Amino acid sequence: MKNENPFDDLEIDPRLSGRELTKRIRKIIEKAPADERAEIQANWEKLTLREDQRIHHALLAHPRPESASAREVSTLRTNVPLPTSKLQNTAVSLTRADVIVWDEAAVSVQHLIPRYDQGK
Amino acid sequence: MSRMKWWSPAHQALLNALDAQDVVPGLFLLLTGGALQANEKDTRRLRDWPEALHDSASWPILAAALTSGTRDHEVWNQAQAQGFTDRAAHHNALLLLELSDRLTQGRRFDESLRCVRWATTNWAQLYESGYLAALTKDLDPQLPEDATAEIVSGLLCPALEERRQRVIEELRKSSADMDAAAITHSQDWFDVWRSFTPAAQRAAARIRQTVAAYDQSVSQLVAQQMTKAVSDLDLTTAQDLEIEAPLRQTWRQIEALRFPAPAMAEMIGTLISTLWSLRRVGRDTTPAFNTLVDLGILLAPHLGRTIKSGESIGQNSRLGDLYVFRAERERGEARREYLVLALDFCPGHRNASMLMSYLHLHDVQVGMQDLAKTIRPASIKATLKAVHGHLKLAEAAFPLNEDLAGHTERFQKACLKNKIDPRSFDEK
Amino acid sequence: MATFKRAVGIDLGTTNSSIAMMSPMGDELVLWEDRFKRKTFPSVLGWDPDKRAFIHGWEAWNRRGLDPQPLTSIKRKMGNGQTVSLAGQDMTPADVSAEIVKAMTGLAATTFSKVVEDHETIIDAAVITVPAYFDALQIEETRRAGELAGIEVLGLLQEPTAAAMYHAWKHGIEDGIFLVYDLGGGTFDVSVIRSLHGEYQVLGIDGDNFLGGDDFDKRLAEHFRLRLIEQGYSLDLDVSKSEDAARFFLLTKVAQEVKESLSASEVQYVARRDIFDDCAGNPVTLEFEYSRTEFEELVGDLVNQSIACCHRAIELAMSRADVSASQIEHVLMVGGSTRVPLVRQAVQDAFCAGQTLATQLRLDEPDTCVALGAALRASTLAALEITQDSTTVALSSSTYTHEDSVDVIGTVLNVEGVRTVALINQGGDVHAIVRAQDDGSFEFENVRLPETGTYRFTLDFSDSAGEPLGSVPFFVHSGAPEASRPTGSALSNPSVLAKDIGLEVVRETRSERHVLLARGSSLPAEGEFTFYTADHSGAVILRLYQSRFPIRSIHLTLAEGTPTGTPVRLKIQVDESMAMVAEGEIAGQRFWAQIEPPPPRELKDWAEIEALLDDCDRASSELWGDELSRFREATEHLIAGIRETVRTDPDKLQALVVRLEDVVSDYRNRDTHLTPAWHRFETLLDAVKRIVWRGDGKRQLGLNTEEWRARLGAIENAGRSAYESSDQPAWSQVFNQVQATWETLKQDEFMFAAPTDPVAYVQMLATSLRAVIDNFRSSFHAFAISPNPETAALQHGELHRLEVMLKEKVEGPLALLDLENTPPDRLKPELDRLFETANHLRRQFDRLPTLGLVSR
Repeated sequence: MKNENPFDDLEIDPRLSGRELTKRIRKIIEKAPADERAEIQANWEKLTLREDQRIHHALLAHPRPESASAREVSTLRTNVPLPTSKLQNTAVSLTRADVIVWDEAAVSVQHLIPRYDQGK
Repeated sequence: MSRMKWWSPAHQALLNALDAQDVVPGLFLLLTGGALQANEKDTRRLRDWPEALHDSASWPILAAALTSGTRDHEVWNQAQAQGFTDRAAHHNALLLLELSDRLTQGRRFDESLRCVRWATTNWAQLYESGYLAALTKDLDPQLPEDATAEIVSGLLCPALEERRQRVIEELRKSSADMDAAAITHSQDWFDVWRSFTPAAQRAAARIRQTVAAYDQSVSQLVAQQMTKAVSDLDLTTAQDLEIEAPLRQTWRQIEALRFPAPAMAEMIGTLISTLWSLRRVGRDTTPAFNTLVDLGILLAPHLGRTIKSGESIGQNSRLGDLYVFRAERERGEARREYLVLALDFCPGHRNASMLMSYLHLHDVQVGMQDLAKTIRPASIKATLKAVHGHLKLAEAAFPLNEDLAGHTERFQKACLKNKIDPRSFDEK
Repeated sequence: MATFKRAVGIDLGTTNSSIAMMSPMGDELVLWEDRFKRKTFPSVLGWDPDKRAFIHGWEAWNRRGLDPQPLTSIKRKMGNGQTVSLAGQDMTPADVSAEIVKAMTGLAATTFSKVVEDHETIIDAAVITVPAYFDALQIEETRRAGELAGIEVLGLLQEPTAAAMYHAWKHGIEDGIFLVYDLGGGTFDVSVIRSLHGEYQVLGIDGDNFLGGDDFDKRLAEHFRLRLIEQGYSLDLDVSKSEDAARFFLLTKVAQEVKESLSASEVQYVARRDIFDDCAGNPVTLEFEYSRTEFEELVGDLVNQSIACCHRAIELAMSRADVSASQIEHVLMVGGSTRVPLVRQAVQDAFCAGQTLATQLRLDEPDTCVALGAALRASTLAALEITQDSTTVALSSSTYTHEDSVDVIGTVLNVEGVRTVALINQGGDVHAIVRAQDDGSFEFENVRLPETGTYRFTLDFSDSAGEPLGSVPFFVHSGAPEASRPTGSALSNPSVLAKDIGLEVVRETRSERHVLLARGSSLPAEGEFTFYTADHSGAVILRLYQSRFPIRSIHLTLAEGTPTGTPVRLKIQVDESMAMVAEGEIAGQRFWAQIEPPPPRELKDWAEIEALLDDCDRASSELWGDELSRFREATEHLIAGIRETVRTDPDKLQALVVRLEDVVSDYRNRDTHLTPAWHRFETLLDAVKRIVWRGDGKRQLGLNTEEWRARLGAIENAGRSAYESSDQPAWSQVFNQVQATWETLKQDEFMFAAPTDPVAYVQMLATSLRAVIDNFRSSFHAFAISPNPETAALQHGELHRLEVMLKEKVEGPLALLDLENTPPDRLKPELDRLFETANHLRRQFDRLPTLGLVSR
């Protein structure tokens, strides 16, 4: 589609209220380089000039809860707390999901894991 | 799915991101038959999709498809049949509509139509389950009912409107540049929306209106361009190619649009009036004249269909005129065929009746010539009966035919000579 | 001692200017004031012949009426290309304004330095305000004034927005809708502005560049003049002569004083002895009573005009943002002229009596709120620069918060090798420490401020070895939680397009104005469009409009044989200063044009103006009903204004004349008739009805009577709706449908009709053809060539060609035909050919009014 959805363009949660999205976009524009600001401002205006337009765009945007944040994978990785030594005292069954998340870290704690479930 | 006690939102965010990297590219290939690849922006945008799909009944089918790497679109049909949660359907509906557009840009028309059909299935689900209305209420609890209904029901109209703009732009291009296949494809795309009838009345009505507006505007544009181009011509001096060009272009447009009735009505009107004008200024022997008639004949079956179905009204005499123009080029049976067509659509068509009458008189003449060669009484009677029949037909078709009197006289003389009472041929 | 550098806000008013700045702590906006506590600086530039130097402000104000006359109200002359003269020196309005700005900033720097003890303030950048209705040239000249004064102009903020921003900031209104009524000395602006989650949006805008307090003064002065004439003085003044101009100016000065006094009292006793000598050399004395009621009657229509602008601004807010009058919460009065009681009463009655949520007017600092709003904007556009010794830091984050923490974001400007930045609190402890980026930028997130009040911090910079490189102090103010101070960020885009930008296009055979960029759009604005050539004239004329006034025509010649329907791509861009650029492409030919308001049209003398007024009368006699009332509404006050300002205000006179000219030519070009005419449609429809409702049981075209009734009803409705909405394409379609239906049905009817007499028929054809030629000839003579030179040139060429063709291809051959002796069956095709040619020429003639225009 020629006209991108403002929520998709800005990569923010379409369920944010007007106030919340203003706060979010304010942070985005303040960090943005000068040549991108006009577009960010235009997107903000599309979402705030008319309430019915905000809803219209929200309905046409892909759901994007916090758990589907658009941040870089590398950033997301650094946000994930690593396993602690307390693991030793907890009986766990790992799933594929955990292993994916832990990646290299999983290798180092593998000896702590009694069972390892491949399926989901 | 079991989760460890220390599973945090940060874990989920990363998992979703990694899942998306796995799942999204595969589904793109499945949905587009391998025509489109997901880019990084797509994958980032769809990070919530895999989780939504996991919650759907159709996930096992899709998981298996992803593992096998198949691009058989039947898989998606099966998944659709198994069902999606509303949240998954929301992603599907948005994505499939977008893919349909991207596939159109890439001229993958079949795949595009498939995607838009799937899109309408998902949109229908979202309307009927009340998901859209509930989401709207969530987004603004203060919004009055009517405003909510207005936003929800008109949600898809901009997408159709944008497509309409592109068709209009394409129709405005010159003959050489116009992409007929793309126009036909868009026509088919709109046909998919024609059959979008979710239980949500208001939404269905809005879509119907938007499709009707599309139909009207393309027909109008075709008519306007044709009228303008033709009015630019000075028929007394224009070259053949100049005369043919506008109507040829209109024909191409109508063909690409799969023969919309209003545009056909306009075309036949202009065609016929141009032919009459050429005749009036004494240029009906120029090649362009016949070219135009032939264009009309190409149009005729499609126009005829809409006349018979009642979709077009009042175009009968013009179609009649066209067939008469065509008939003029032929003799005998070939001519009769066209005249029959003219009279079928326009009973009482003046010129067709007249020509038909003369055809019958020709048969009379032939019959009378045969008579001269016959001596057996039975044959003579049969021939005279046939001639009588043709005379009656000639009279019925066009009572004012000036040649009737002469032929009738000769027939009566022949009857007298053969001692046959002509009234014996009149069926009671 | 540390130095603070903060961009300031400057309001360059017609009568008075002011300047303000946000304090380094970010908790207050400081307005410059002189030692008498006067917060405004008269926008007057004078010359002291003794000191042989320019004088400004109050000093110059006090020399009014003395020789050399100081320059006043220079704002009214900005952007119109004129120069003014002071003591023999020619200056542009920008030069004059620059002097005023320079004087103000010099004084302000000293005053602002006292805000923080032991700290110096430097001013070298500013946001300057402009009326919302200012054009690109006027805005450019304002910018130039700032630059000539040695100031970096960060932006040009529209005055009503500045007022609303200040007001919202002052009262902590994070969400609210304002109607800002800004009546200054020379201009009137009205805006509907919304503050939303701490940001600002302009929803509606309107105004008048030639409506202000000055007009009240001039009208009153004119009234005094007439009274003096009644008393026997010789005062038939011609203000284009300098002596008479001086006389009138002095009368205006008295009028201004009287007006101001009437704001406080109901009646004034006016007594001025020997103000000046009249034309006969007699000294003039003014002595009479004048009441507020008389004054209000005198200027009532001017106030009404301003209210009409307000309603238009509200309509725009409705269409842009679905905001109605009933949602407006605050009505702000801005500008010195809002002190006039009539003005306040009119606005109160129109907008605070139940029409909006406001119950009373806000009259907060009407003279200075614009400068304060500009200072607020300046503080968000430019960082606060702090210099100590040789270290300079630009702090881009706000130094005010009403929460319990604040971000500190900045950049070290002039020190190399900074790796670590430490935030040291007042007690000398390290509060936080971060790494600097390569470009010197740094960010402290969520610096906690446990109590309300002002905090003093120091930023310490060190290199990779930990060696100190420099430090600067700064202040942060934490206000109470309820004391939010919305300043707006880069998201607030307060500049909007005040007038539609349109293009003249042809639709069917009529020209219409198609809006490219709508008024109210945020600036910068741009749009890309595709149009199509509509004729074979060999040229395209892109005539651009601002509101209803043409501003620029772009004329492009096309290669011969360029077909109609060739795409014309057009892109229009308008930046924040309203500078407009148009560029595009047609058939491989690219074009680019800077669009400016047209140079002033030639000044008209009274004879020409009288002719225009007659023209106006004639135009109105051709209208009726709604159209007539709209025309009257658009022209009445212009005509009254013209008659008035001929004596009082030559600049305004010319402006009004231009407006009236454009309104009249606008109505002239209206042609709302569709073809074919309605009665032909009705005739055909009736003919169809007669056949299908004959009641002889025959099913025409397979439909019974009921079905026909339904069909024809639908066609009639479609026709009516197309006709009423002037939708030519839809109308053509419905008409053709009816015509085709009738032609089909009548086949039966006329099957047995007798043929007509061929000789008579041919004679009739010949007569008709002669009539067509005559008709055509008189159309040539009656045709009104366009006033636009480019179109006129095309039209002249085409008319000549058509005349030649008519003679050679129709008239000539007709004359050669021997009508008496040629048999009809040879004559008929000849005549038919000539008819066809004549019709073809006629179709081309019909295109003359819109020659060169493109279609959508």
